[in-house]
Amino acid sequence: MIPTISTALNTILGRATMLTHASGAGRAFELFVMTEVALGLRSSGFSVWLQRSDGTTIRSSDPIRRFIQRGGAPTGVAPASAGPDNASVIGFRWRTRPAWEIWNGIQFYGRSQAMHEIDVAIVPQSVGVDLRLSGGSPVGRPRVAIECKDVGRMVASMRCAHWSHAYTM
Amino acid sequence: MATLDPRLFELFETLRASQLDWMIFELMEGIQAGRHPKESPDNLARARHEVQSDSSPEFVVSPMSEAAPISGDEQIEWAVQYVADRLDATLAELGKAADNLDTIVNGNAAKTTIIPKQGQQEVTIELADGDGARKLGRNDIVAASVELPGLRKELEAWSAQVRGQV
Repeated sequence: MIPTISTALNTILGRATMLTHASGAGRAFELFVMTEVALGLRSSGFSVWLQRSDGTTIRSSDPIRRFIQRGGAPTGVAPASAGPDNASVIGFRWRTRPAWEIWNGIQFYGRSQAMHEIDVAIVPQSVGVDLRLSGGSPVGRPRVAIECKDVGRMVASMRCAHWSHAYTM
Repeated sequence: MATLDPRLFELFETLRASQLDWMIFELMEGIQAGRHPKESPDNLARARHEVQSDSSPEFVVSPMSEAAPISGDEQIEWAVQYVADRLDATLAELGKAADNLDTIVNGNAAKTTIIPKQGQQEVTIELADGDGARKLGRNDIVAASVELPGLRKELEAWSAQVRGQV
């Protein structure tokens, strides 16, 4: 144990407690990626909003404005009836066209029935509305899937996000 | 594969005590992987241009060179820089994400250099788990970032000491 380093670390982690979680740094990178995507959409003229896990919109006038990411084991979409304390999403739409949702860390049932957690996924809002009725995992693939790799074999030199498009949902 | 320098265990123990177990795994993996050559600036610029121009990127896969092993004193220097840089980069990502969330909700471009009063305007980031939620506001990110130079100084002091430089 190195007391001077321990003290300096604990001063930082006392403010940034999420970094003490096993998924904390990874989730931070995923949040960075999903909010950059959302901000890019906003800059391009899309309407963009934050949404609680019960489907309600987070507004600037709300007394509590929390964007919740989920730690722990991968899971599906929580039912709206479970309240607003599960994973938040980012919603967006182009004018009056149908809306979309950006999800973080949701498990999908693949076509092989195996489950896959997708770091950042974009799906039609109708999929989110349907799943929030009783909770569960979506089947198939999202329209856009982004795998966020903030470390890897090249560790410090590798911070990237891989994305793919799919048209099955 | 490089053998971990036993002098690192003191650093690992310190990280473990601060609940940074994930960082220990990254350090071990990074040291054992060795130093890989980075992409050339030309390749990176070409990739950026192709992505930004929305053309289909053609990835040029260069032959993999042997990773250069990291050994001895170099492991100590590599590890202390990694710890500081990793926390620095992660806090920077959180700061940008917090700004982005504020911009989405409040409709204006937020600035990390301006610290709002706690609870006003800002969107709090929460990591929810079975053991409770870890909450983070922009004030916390700024306050944590301010402490990074102090951590870097202590890491470098320890590094110099164990390498017999002081």
